[in-house]
Parts: sequence; structure tokens; C-alpha cells
Amino acid sequence: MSRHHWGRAGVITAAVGSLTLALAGCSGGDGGGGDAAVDLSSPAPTGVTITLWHASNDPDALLNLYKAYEKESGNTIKLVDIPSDTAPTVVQTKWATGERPDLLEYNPSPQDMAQLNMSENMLDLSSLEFVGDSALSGVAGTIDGKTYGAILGPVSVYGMYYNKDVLAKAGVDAPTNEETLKAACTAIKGTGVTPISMAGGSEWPAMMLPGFTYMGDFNADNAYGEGVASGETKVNDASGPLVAGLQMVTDLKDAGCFNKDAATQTFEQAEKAVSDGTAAFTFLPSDQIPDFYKNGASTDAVDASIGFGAFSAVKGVPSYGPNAQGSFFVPKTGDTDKERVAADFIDWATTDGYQQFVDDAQIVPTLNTADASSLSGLYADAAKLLQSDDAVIGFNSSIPGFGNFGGLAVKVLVGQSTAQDAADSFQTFVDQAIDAQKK
Amino acid sequence: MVTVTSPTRHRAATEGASTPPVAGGRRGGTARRWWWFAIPAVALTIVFFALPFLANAALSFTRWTGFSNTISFNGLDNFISLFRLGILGHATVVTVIYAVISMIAQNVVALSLAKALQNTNRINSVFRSIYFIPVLFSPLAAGYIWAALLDPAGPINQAIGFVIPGFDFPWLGNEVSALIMVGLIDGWKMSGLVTLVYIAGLNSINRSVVEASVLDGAGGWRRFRSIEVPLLAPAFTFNIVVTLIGAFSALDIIFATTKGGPGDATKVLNVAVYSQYGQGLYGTSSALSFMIALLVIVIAIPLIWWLRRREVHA
Repeated sequence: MSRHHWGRAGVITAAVGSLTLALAGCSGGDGGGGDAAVDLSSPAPTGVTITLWHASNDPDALLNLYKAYEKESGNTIKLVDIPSDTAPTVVQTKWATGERPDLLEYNPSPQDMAQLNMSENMLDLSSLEFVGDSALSGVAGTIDGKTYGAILGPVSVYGMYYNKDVLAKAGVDAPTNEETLKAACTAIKGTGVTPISMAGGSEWPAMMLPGFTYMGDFNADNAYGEGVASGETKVNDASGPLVAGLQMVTDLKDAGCFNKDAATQTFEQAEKAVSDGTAAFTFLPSDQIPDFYKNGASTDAVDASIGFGAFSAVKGVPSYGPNAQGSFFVPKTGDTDKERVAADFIDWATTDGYQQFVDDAQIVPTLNTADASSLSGLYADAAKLLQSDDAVIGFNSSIPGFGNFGGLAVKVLVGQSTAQDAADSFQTFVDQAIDAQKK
Repeated sequence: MVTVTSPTRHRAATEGASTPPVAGGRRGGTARRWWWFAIPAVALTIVFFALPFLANAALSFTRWTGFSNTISFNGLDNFISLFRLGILGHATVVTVIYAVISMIAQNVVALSLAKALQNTNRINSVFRSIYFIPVLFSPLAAGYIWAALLDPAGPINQAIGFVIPGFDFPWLGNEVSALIMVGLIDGWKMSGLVTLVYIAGLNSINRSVVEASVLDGAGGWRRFRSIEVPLLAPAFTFNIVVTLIGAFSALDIIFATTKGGPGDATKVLNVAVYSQYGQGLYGTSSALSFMIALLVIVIAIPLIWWLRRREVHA
């Protein structure tokens, strides 16, 4: 079948005008972007206002960074709030209609970048100074060796929060793998406390145990994720790690290790259960650390009772993933002044402004030009995992169609699906996404 | 003297007496003048219904994704893909079940309320207003409220716990009860509006018919079954069609309560549309939207035809 290609704006307009004939010969632009080259080595103009699509829950450290740049440069950043809980969809909706910001805060994982076709729609930032200093170079913010995104941090570490008092009463250490988790579950159940607090009601936390944490053993150098993306590795391989991870969930459920309301509980409730000591563990990313401090009576009390550790199938390998928060891209808009200013913000934020941001945000820096701030408690636990030599990028970052995994993980959690059936469905979605990405 | 009048002249005189003395041209001009008032409605229908529908129909047959800046015609690939993935069949079944539950809940509750509140007096007016309040709620707010009420540790289970100690059934965590519950929540939210339609229908029934049946010895149930229900046929047509078709566009209540879960137990077509869209698969998302439109047409037209026939019989 012969296939005709047109620009988005052209086709959408044509579709409104007619049903089929319009599909036969229109041609348009490049999706709203411009190809005019911007010289990143030239001085940035001043007095320019740029728009920034940013997450509505950006922390003060980032908001302060924007203000500091405005003061430093004489340019203005006009903030456009994107609801944080639905940010990817909201951005895609605006993007699909041809709308573009001058600066975009967005998830820098390869798959998320591909969904906005960033290799064609974003400015290549490879010539900026920060590129050689990034600890995440090659695994996030880049496509085919070119850097399109600047990742300031924080970086999420996927792990397990545990209540130290509950573990002490049960006489067990914090588990680091499937075998020790199952043993700990048996011991903790004897004390009348829920061993593992799962939050299927929020959906995404259901992916943590069988996916983000369990798969750490298998994703050194992003091997598993890239294998799936290339089609060489199948997620539904009956003897593969993903089926094993999902089967572990079924085993733990059958053994009565989860809370009764695992299907409906939200992540906030799961956090509270561990904070209160009514549950021993919950599997969530390090982004949730502030919630545990809010739940506790004091910082010292939380540090004394709550811990954060690594978990994976066998070796206790920590996984991490970059965040949409603090990751910036410069869309091609055709306005060279604004593109230059947006790139200038990234250049400044990753050099002169970076140390102050790291100090304000209390994070492990992603650029080796900054000193790590003096972190303590759960933040120190997460930093230790992130900086360990065996830490790997999250298995999801390169898997096409990963957005469907959450619902499937919940189906296994609530017993609607077997591990193999869920993996089979997931593979179908992966195939769909791989096919969609063929140019 | 006898005056003979030709039949033709007589007919013309008779017609002239019964027809307004308006010249043909002037009457046509009057009719044309009223057409201007239809322009806003026609324009709104074109802009907000016809064009989006046609655009969606066209985009359903394209390879349109976030991964590429070009859109290309791909025939039925999107529909085949959705069918292969099991999304189309599952989401359609869930949507139909949800719509039927919601429609039954709305109409049963609303008809009962309408009978109870049929007479217009001060007390009934207060209750009509109270039952109408949920209609004014944001569907998201309604969903969040019910999600809290139906929480395993929420007030509903606590109330049941007085009778059955330790009762902690996860209403929104069980795949069967979750679908029933979200349908009932939608029914609860909209039944106030449907109630008003039934009240209007009941009050438009000729009192003399009802009084005659009373004189003939018909009891309350017999009057309801044999007189009111048949004469409410136009109200049934409106309410059944509106509630059923309205439920096909469900999204917000489900998002606020179950997000399509547990698993995909409440994943109606619009949730599936959102899910596909969120992954940058705009073409397949459009195809699913198109399916919703077709589903509405396929169900609504025969349903309206059948209900209208009932009205005629009634």
C-alpha cells in the first residue's frame, strides 16, 4: 500500500475539511517547529520573555532557580503550570495541536523523549558545557549520542521503605531480594503486622515491586530495556525475569503478605501504614521521602524508625530513574532569540547556578561539577544507593509501551491475571509501541 | 332571479374564506426570514459536532503518533491493532455494562422519586431540590466523595460493621463490585435530573383519566401499571436514551474512583482512549473515539425507533 506523508497541522486541518481526499497530497511544515539554526556559542539576548511548561508541583528550589536566572540574565521566564499528576498527557495534548513552549520540563527517559519525537523537535544541546559533566550521559536526555535534555535532578531511586521497629520485633533484617523478602514476610506475619503495604489504588506503585526494583539485577548498562526495545528480548519470556517478578507478586499475595486493601489503597495510605508501624514495608521511589518526614513526629523520630533500602531479584541492586522535575529541553519554535535564551537558561542552570540549586534542593547532584550537600536520614540512604557502583538505570526507561505495565501489575496484584498472562498482554503492547515508532 | 354560480368560482370563494389573505410570495419571504434564527444552532452543530466528528473519523484511519512528525493513511490498522490488543472488545463490553447499570439505576430511582414527589407542595419542592443537588456536583468531586465513602475503612463499611463486625469489603477493589459501584455512582449523580422529567410527565397525564380509573375501582398499582406507565412513554423515551447514551461518555467518575481498575475491570472506552493517547498513539486513540460514536449511533437509533413505536402504541 502506498503511504502518503504530511505535516500534522496540514493533515489535521485537511481531516476537518474532508474525510479521505484530504489524505492524498497535502504537505505542511514540520509539526510546528522551526529549522532555523541557532548559534549556541553566540551571546544570549536580554530582555526576552520565554515560556516554560513546568510541573505544577515544582519545589521551591526550582522556582528559586528560575528567579535567579531572571535576575542574572535580564530575561523573563513566564511559567505555565502543567498539572503534575497528568503532566505527560497534558503536554502531549498541547504538543499534538502544535503548541510549543520555549522551554519544557519533561521526563528525559528515552521512551518519554521518543513520544515527543525529540530528535527532530528539540534543540541539540550537545555543545553546552554541562554535557561532559553529567552522570546520566548516555542513559537519559540523549538520543543517538546527541544531548537534548539537561537533567539537574533530583533522580528517583527505586527501593523499599521499612519500619525498623517492626523488623526488630520480628527479628529480621531489611530484605534485599526475593528469598529474604519471603522469609521476612513469614516472620512478620507472626507478629500480627501487615508485611507489605501495596498501593494498587494509585496503580503506579504496583509496578515498583515486580518491575522497578526486582528487575535491577537484569538491567546493567540498560541491557534488558534496550533488548526489549530492539525486539530481541521478550517481556513474556516464560523463563524471563519479568514473568518471575510478577510471579513473585502472586506468591506473596497467596502467602498473605499484602494488606487486604491492596487493590484500593493509595500510596499515601501505604506510606502512613509503614510510618505508623501497621505495615513493615512498602515499595516506592525516593521522591516520597518528604511524605515520611511529614508523617513523623520529628525528623529524628523518622530517622530512627524508617529506613530506605535497595531490593532486586537476587543481588539487591538499586535502580534509579531521572525525573521530569528538574529536566529541561528546548523545543524548536523557529524564534531564534527565544531558543537562544532557553538554551542560555540551561547553560546557566547547569554551571553558575547549579551549586546553589543542589544546596537548596538537598539532592545528590547529577553533574560532577557540584558538591553533594550534607544529606542525612532517608535522603542519605537514597544517596548511598544512587552512588553505589552497581546502581542501574530503571528497566523501564527504554521499553516501548511501558505505560501499560501499571494496569497489568495491578491485575496480577488483585488476582485478575496470572503472571504469564499479564506478561503476554504487556508484550502485545510493547509490539504495538515498537511498530508505532517505526519511521 | 336566479343567479348561477360556476363551480370553479364557488370553490375559489370557499378557499378564499378559509385561507389567510396572504400573497404566496410574501408568505415565502416570511418563512425565509425565520431561517436566520437557525444559524447559531446550525453553526454550533457544525463547529462542535460535525467537524470534530468528521476529523475524528478521518484520523481514525491514520498512523498518527507522537513518535513522528508525519501522519499517514493506514487503513484499518488502528482498529485491527486495538482488536488484537483486546482493548476494543473488553472496553466495549465494560462500557455497555456500565451504561446499562447506570441507566437502570437512574430510571428506577428517578421514577420512584417522581411518584413520591409528584404533587407540587412546599415539602416536595424542598426534596426535589435536595435530590437535584448531586446533578450540580462536579463528576470528579462526586467520584472522590464516593471513593472515600466506599473505602474499606470508610463510613459505609463502618456502618455495616455495626451489624457485621469486622466488615471491610473493598467495594472498588473487587472487579465485579467496582463496575457496579461506578455505574451506581453515575446513576446517583444524574437521577435528580431524570426525576424532574418523570414528574413533568406524570403531571401532564390527564387527571380525568386517572379519576375515571379510580371510579372503576383501579388500585394504586393498577393505575400506575395500566395508565401512568403507558402514558409516560415519551418521558421513558427521553430518559432511557439520554441516560444510556450519556453513560457511554463516562470518564470523570471512573477516573476519580477506580482509574479504570482494579486491573481493567472498569476500563470503559474513554479510559482506554485516554490510555492510548497518553502513550502518544493518537491514531489508535482516535479510532477508539470513533468506535464510541459508532456505538452510540448503533444503539441509539434502534432504541429511539423502538421507544417511539411504544409511544404510538401507548
